[in-house]
Amino acid sequence: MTDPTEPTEPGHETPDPEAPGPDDRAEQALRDALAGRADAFEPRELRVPTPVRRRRGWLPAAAAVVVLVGGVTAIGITAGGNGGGGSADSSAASDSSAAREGAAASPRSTVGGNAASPGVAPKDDTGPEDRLMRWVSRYDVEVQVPSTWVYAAPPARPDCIRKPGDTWDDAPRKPYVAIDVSRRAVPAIGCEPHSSAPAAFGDLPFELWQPTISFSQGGPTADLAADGTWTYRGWTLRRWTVPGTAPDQPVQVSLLTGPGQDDLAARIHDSARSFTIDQNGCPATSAVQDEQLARPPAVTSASRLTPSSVSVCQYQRGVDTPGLLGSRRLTGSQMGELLQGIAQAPAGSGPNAPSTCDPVPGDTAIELRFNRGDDGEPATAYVYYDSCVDNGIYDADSVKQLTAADCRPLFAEPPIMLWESSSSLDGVCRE
Amino acid sequence: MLQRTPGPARRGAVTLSQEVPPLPNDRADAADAGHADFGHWVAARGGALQRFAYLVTGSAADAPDLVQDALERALPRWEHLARSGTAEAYVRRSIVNGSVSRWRKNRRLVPVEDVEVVSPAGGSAGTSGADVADAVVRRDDADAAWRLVQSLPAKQRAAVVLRYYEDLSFAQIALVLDCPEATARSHVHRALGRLRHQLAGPRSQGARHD
Repeated sequence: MTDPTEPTEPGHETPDPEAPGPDDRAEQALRDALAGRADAFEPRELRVPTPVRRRRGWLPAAAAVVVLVGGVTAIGITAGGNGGGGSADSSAASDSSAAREGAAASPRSTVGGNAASPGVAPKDDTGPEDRLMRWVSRYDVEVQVPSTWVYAAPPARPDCIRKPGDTWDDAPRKPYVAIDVSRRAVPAIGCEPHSSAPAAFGDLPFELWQPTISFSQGGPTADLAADGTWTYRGWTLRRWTVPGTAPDQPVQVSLLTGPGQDDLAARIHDSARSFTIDQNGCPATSAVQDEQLARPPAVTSASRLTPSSVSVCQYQRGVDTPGLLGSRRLTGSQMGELLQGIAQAPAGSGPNAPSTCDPVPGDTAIELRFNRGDDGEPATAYVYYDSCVDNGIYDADSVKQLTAADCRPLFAEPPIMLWESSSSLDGVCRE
Repeated sequence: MLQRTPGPARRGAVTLSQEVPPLPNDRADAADAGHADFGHWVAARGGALQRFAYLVTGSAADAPDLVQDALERALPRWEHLARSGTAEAYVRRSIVNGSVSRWRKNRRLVPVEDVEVVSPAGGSAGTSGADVADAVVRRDDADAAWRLVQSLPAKQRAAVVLRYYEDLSFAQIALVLDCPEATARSHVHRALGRLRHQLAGPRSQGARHD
């Protein structure tokens, strides 16, 4: 018998002896119901969206400030080469900065005592230091923000905040780039929404608003909010979608700026772009995203690396979309400490505690890229840390244990975050 | 020692480039990818897309907003969508995704709005008593079907709408919903099974004369 749900497709034959034929009453009822309702519906006139016109006159001049102190550092994961070497300073997330043309024309923010400004007002919205910009990246989109903006977690339960300083008040007090917090535990208590602003602004009390930028990834299973611009008491929320490098996987950027920051907002907006490798040397997608434990490809002379910097790239696992959650570039002493820690770590995976939990894959993993400074393909190592099994730093054919010396440098600063891990890693990757 | 794993076994996802026949209104999209063409496309397809959105959401108020949001998302990638002939699928998918979000947000709400219930096979002057009786049965069946559609989860409802309003094949439904074809088929089968069960019961189950 023909599949009753395929009356017009004779190629689909599904045995279903209990099913009625193509003239099924239920099918007819559905067709009648849907056609009738659709015919009775009066469509509204739609507004044809117009393309966003990019501003001219501002170029992200690449006045890169790269601090490279110390000589060549040798490290061998496999052979236990000599770590150390970096001697003094380092640069983390803020490797690249750019001077802005014509920034002096920006008006100062009207803060402090102005009813249009929150109690904790942005102090550095258009000051001289604000003209230095740096790239921040998420997924496969990067954008320039003032170098004074920090990485911070948006409040866990903004609706629980009664006033600044409240028990649940963990809201950042400076302009910030929102780090990914999807794996963070939140207090499970009931609270009432606490904001009178339009819904697009969220529930964070107005008193705690700060200039903020955040990223969301869209796709077949992830819905994005509507793009647009909203204002509330002098603050502006801009939300726009940047086509990513992957088909049908756009990234939406949400930017909240305060009074007098329209020019800054325009600069940030205009800088947004997609990338395949970000300014910290991290690809948008990595093999560590796979739920199965992966091993990096073998690299010639991998046992004796001489990196000029190490890119620390953290990814979400279990997704095949661009999964970069955060990136840093270590140089100088920070790089030296990491390399030395890896070199001195015991061979083998660990610490593991397979008897204490289900051996499920972790939610995130790190790819380390040992950049050689000659634009050659960097050697890589994969770091697994948030499961009860298979923790360690892996290269193509060997693995080193996680120790305080080789793990803590990875999580020393946001946006590389360790939200949760097996208890066996307490005291190792974090104090 | 851990063994090197074979190539990544990533979570599969049906993409718009999947090789299924283009949706009926995507065939002409490749001719011109300009913004003016986008405006023409919106003018030509706006009504149908809103009807689709209305059937998927069951809300006459939400439908235009859902379509408007979908168009806003489509515009930045219009050239690609038009060139690849996937504009209709993309916008419909956006509408479905938007309806899923709204459904999750509002699933505890009982819909109170409805457009006027129309008689899909209403009798007219001169029809016989038997014809009128058949028309009443069909109207009651349609009412039951509509109530069932409104009770379905958003994605399943979308599958039913795509099947019985848009007359899409299961491969095309899978493309719009970004799910395996078997899942699309299952969505429709289960809804149909429920409706058959209802219609097979006492007549009062399918009619509402209050």
